[in-house]
This record gives sequence, C-alpha cells and structure tokens, in this order.
Amino acid sequence: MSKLIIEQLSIRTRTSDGLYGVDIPFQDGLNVIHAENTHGKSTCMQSIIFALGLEGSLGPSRKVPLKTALTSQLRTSNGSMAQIIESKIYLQLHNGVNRITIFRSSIEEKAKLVSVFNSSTIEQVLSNRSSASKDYFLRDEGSATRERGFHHFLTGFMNISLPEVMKFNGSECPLYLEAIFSINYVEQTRGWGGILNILPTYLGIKDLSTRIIEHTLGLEVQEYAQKKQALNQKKKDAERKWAIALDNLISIAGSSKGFVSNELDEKIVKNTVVSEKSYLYLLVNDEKSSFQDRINYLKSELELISSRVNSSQVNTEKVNELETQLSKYSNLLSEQEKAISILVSDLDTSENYIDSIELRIHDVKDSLRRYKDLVRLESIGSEEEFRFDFNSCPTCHSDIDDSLLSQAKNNQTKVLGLEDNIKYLEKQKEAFDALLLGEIKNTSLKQARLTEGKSKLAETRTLIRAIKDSLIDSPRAPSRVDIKKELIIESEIDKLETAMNDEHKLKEKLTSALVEWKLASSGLNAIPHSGLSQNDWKKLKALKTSFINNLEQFGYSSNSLSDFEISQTSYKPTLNEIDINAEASASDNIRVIWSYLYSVLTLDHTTKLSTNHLGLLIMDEPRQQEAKNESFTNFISKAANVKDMGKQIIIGTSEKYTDLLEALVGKDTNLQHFESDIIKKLS
Amino acid sequence: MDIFNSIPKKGITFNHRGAPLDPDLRPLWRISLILIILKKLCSGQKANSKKVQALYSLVSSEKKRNAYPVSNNALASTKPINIHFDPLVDRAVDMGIGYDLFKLDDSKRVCLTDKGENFSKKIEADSHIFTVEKDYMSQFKKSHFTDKVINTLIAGDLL
Repeated sequence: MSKLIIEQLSIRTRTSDGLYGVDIPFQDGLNVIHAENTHGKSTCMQSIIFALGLEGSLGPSRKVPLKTALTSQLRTSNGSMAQIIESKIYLQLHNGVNRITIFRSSIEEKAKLVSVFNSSTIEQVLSNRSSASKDYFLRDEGSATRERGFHHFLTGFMNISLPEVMKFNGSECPLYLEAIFSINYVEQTRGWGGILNILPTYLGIKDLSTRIIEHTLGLEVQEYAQKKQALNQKKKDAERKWAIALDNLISIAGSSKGFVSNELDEKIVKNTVVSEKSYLYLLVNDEKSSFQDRINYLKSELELISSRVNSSQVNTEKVNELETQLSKYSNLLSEQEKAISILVSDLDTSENYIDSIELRIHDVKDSLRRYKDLVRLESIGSEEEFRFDFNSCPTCHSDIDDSLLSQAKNNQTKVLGLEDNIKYLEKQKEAFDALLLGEIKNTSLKQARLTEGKSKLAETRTLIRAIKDSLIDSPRAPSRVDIKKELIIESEIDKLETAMNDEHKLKEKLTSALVEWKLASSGLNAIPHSGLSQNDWKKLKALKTSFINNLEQFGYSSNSLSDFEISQTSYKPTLNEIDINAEASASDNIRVIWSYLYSVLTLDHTTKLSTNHLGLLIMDEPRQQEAKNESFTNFISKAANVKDMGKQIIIGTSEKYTDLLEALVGKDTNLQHFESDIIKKLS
Repeated sequence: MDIFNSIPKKGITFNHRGAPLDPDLRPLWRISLILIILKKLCSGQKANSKKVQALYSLVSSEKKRNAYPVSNNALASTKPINIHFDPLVDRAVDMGIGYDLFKLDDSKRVCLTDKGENFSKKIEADSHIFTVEKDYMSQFKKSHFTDKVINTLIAGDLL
C-alpha cells in the first residue's frame, strides 16, 4: 500500500509575457512524462521535489533549487525570453485516506513556507473554492520535529515515524525525510552514478545509506541494536551496583578488622551466587574464623568472666592467679612488640619496593617515548632528501647493526628492530604495572595488619595495667582485669554484630544487582548474533532473489548473476563481497540501480511483510542512451506492473517516441507526451 | 600426554630475535639529539667536542635536567651533576659525519651541514618528537653555554 501518491502537479508562472504553466495528472502505477531534451522534463521532476520541500536530499544549498526556467527567465513560443515574476508550484497528494494540495512559491522569501489545503484538489485551490490553508515552515531547524514544521506535518500525513539515528558527533537525531527520500528519487545526472549516489551527507548522520535502507525495508535490526545497547547498559549498571556494595562490605569488614571471603566474586560472572551464609571472616591466631564463630566464642568467654565477677566468694588463689596472668600477658606483650617491629620493617621494605617499581615504570615510559620519537625520526629520515640506512656503513657500505655499541656482526648481538623493541618495552611496562598493582595490594594488607596489631598491643597493655591494679586491690573486690576484659569483649561482640547486620542489608543489594545482571544477560542471549531477526532474513533473501531476477530480465551481462549477494551490513548488492559500483559497465550499472530500487519498492509485495517504503519512485532519464532498448522495454513493462500493488512510478524520459509507444503497448500507463515546451502560455 | 618424556618429532628450535637496546644507543636517536643541541644551544650551530659531550650528557638525562639550572628545582639541586664523557657520543658524531649531517670545521668544531640543517628543521617542526628535550632547551639562550659555563658544569661546581 502506498503511503504517498502524487495525483497532480501544477505550475503557474507569472511572467512579463503573461501567465504560463502546466497541469500534469498522475495515477497509480507507471507514469511517463515524455518530451525532448530541454523541453522542461527535469524542471517538472524537480518541481515535485521542491514542492515537497525535499531539495535537501540533493545537497545542503539553501537556494531555491528550481531551474532558471521557473526562477529567472522562460523561453516563449516565439523564441524570445520572458522575465519571471513568480512561479507557484502546486502538488495534489493522497495518502490512501485523505487528499491534500500543497503549494510553494519560487520567491526566495516565500520559499520557506508551504501552504497546505486540506481535502482539496488543485482545481479547487486554483479556482478559490478550497478550504482555508495552513502554513508550515521549512528548512529552518525543527522542520522535522516542531508541530508547525512542514516535514513534521508530512511524516504525519504519510503515517510514518522517523527513527532516531546516531550522528558523527555522538548525538542523536531523527532520520530526516530528506534522507529517507533519497531512495525514492533518482536525479538526472549524478543520481545514476550508483545506488543511493546522492545522499544528504551534510546532515552528519553515521552510516547514512545503511540507515536509510534499513528504515525503508523496515528491518528490525536497528531495534535489536538499541535493545542490545540498553541491555548492555543495564548489565553495566548492575555491575557498578555490585562493585559499590562489595566495596562497602569490604570497608565494613575492615572496620571490625576482618575481611571478605573470596567465595564472594569480585565481579559478576555467569555462575556468581549470593549465598545465605556470611562472607565476613577474621584472623584469630592466624586461623580463619567466621564472624559468627567469633561471636559465639566471645559470648562463652564473657559468660565465664561474668560468673567469676559475680561470685561473692573470696578467691584465695586470686593473687597467684593474677601473677600468672601478669607474666602471661607480659610475654604476650613482648611477642606482640616484636611482631610489630617486624611488620614495620616489612612494610618499609614493601614501600621501598613500590618506589623502585615506580621508578622502573617511569624509565620504561621514557624509553617508550624515545622509541616513538625514533619511529617518527626514521620516517622523516626515509624521506627523499635524507634516505638514511642505519644498517649499512655510510662510508664503506658494509652491513652494520642499528646500534652504537660493538659492531661485531653475529647472531648473539643481533639487535631488535624498532617495532619489536617497542613491543618488548610495552610488554615490560605491562609486567611492571601488574607487579606494582600486586605490591600495592600487598602493602595495604600489611598496613591493615599493622593497625590491627597495634590495637591488640594497646589491649594487652590495658590488661596488664588492670592486673597490676588488681594486685593492690582488696581481695573481696571483683578483679579489675575481668571487668576490663568484659568491657573489651562486649564492645567487640557489638562491633561484630553490627557488621553482620550491615552485611545482611548489603547482601540484599548484591542479590538485586545479581538478578538484574542475569536478567539483562539472558535478554542479550536471546538476541540473535547477527542482529537480524527472522523476518529480516526473509526480507534480505527475498530482496536478493528479486534483485537477481530483475537483473536477468533487464539483460545484465557484466558478471555472473549467481555471484551477487545482498550485504548484511550495507544491505546493498555486492559482487564477491565488494560493492559493485565500480565493477560493472555503465549500462549494467543502470540495470543494477533499476533492479535494486524496483526490488526495494516491491519488497512488501514479494514477501507479504510490511516495509516503510513510501510506495513511490521518481526517476529522471532512467536510460540516458546507455542501456539497450530491449532492456528499457523490459523495465517499462515491469514498472507498469506496480499498479496492481498500489504503487506509483514516475519517469521522465526523452526516449524515441515511437520506441516508447511500442514499449507501452497493452500496458495500463499514464503517458504524458509533450511535443514542444512543457510549460506553455495559458490562455 | 606425558609432556616430560615426550620428544617433539621435529626437535626443538629456538629463534634468536635479537636483543633489546636502550633508545639512546640507537645512532639515529643520538645523532638527532646532537643535531638539535647544535641547532638550539650553540651559537653558529657549531661546538667543540667538549661542549657536545657536556650538553649531550646534560640534555639526555632527566636527573641532570632537573638539577640544572639550580633555580628550576631547589630540592634537586642538592644532587651534584655528574657529566660523563661518553665515547659513544663521539661515535655518533662520526656516524653523523658519515651520513653527511655533520662536518668538522678548520678548528675541529662540529657543525651542521646543509642536510643536517634541513633534518634538524624537520625535527624542530614536528611537535611530537623530543618534546621533553626541546622544552628543556628552549629555556636557554644560545649564548648561555659559554666555555666558562661548560667548564663549571664539567667540574660539577654549579654555584
């Protein structure tokens, strides 16, 4: 079903010699405007483009794109020239439901506006019997998006939507009508250079021709690409969420001197899980113990102490006991002090090591910089005027190494080439970087252990002080050591329990991140690898078949037809995987364009799958004497078939009239034949 | 597969791919640096061998660049500058003469040939090479490195 049918073009030109003009009616199916060269065919074709405000399809120029015959002067019937005051272009359009007439003036100042007469024919407009018109603006920014923009109106009228596409500068914009229309109109001169030869590249849209064909064929691949992008973004978000939660968990573990077990994955991977059990551990006497085990142990310890504190019995053994404890803790203290001093010197070594690695990385970087200079120098040195060859002696021309060192030439002293040496240095840098990363991690671990050791040392000192105080206390009083211990244990339990509560909350976040990630991941897996849906495959396959069939009928002979493919990336025909533009002879090139554009136009009919084609094809001089007459006859008869599909083809040609008539015999076509100038004086 | 006891059918071969080399041991790099030293730091674009040695030693080393001039970096200036006389600099000059980039004038001073002049111009014009060295050199006037300055540099007596 056609989205846009042109029903009539009318031109009214006010000149110094009176009113000139023409009315050309069009119908469904094939329309042929026939006239000799210079009689105004192309003027009529371009008027259609102009009225639709689509001159941007041909280039970025902001000038009125009409031929001089409609803007400055016109040849009158007696051969003299008449000055033009204003040309008015009317176009009557139908979208299958509604009929409108649009009008645009050739005068520069008025050309920015297009007037739209709803449900009116040109005849009604010209005789002032139409409904009131509404003006829409053109060519200013927003013509495609703002409500009073003509192209916004036109897309609405044709009931299509413009897909968002990527620009070279990274922003997004709609695939403008100017771009979409490139596949509906082949201009007389440059248009026959290749498929989609004239493109509004000035719009700055990335992969423009691919996007246009993709949209026209209604491929789902773009949708898939967007979906893929969104899912990847979701996955990344989930990964970030995971990383943040994990970081928080690590800092919680750190604040209670523990660590996060490596059972919890650092990054989400396929089989990552968040289990019910706690991932928080700490080292007790160099053994890994979970927070929960530690809490249980501390609680039993606490019970023991409080039972001792609460017992009113006078402990006669108390002094002895205290003294043993004192000596035990004094030993512990000296051990801890020793351990800390070892840790400190160890840390010092690590820090020195890091410095030395950093120095090496700095040196390697400098060498790399110098090597890059060398590559550049070598390219300057190889220029015509210098031509250095560092592998042969400038004086005696015997072979030497590219080195200032010993020139003994043997395999042992062979020197790496520049590129290889750069690769070698880069590998070295990678190795040092990895080493540095590992050492930094190591050092921070050591630092954590040092802080932990120091706090334990302080704890021991407090206990020793308490024991000493208890020794001079009355024997009836509860032991100060016990009370102190009780306090220390209680605060540790408290800390561990808070940490575990926090872990519980963080685990919820981790789980939700994991679920989101897995959802996005399975969504991604469901998207076909090539990005093409089943319908897309069907369409491309049908496009290929129809393209090749048409080529055969139009008499293509430059290459074997079975070598043609439709590219899955550009959707254009390729020959042995290269674009065919340069391959074929001039006449075969025209056959390729006919076949391709015709196949695209009729694809919805061949596949029964809907496409976004406007259902309209305008071709100016589709033969240009290049292709053989019989090919043209075949093309004309094919083109006439589109009437049954509800589509429209408009051709302007200066073919020999008798040949044309012969080609059209028995075909239901609308032939508009002009013996002399198309734009004539109106009575 | 028992990889410890299996013997490859074609035997084991090792390919020597060559040894890596410090960039300043490459003739092109050293000759180029001497070229721009002559161009940017020496009046008349010529210098005696002692000056070439001293300036090459200074410009090519990051440590020495940081230590001289003194005002540039007060902290680094406490480190003495140790100017080396490097026979490889002489070798580079010799090779440069062979490639027709340098020539010796009547008093045995090293100066640029026309070809050397052209090459040094290209290096100067290219903003991507010798960036650090060129930046460093541009803070001195050509008249800065007099024989006296060179002698104090070599003596390591900065003040």
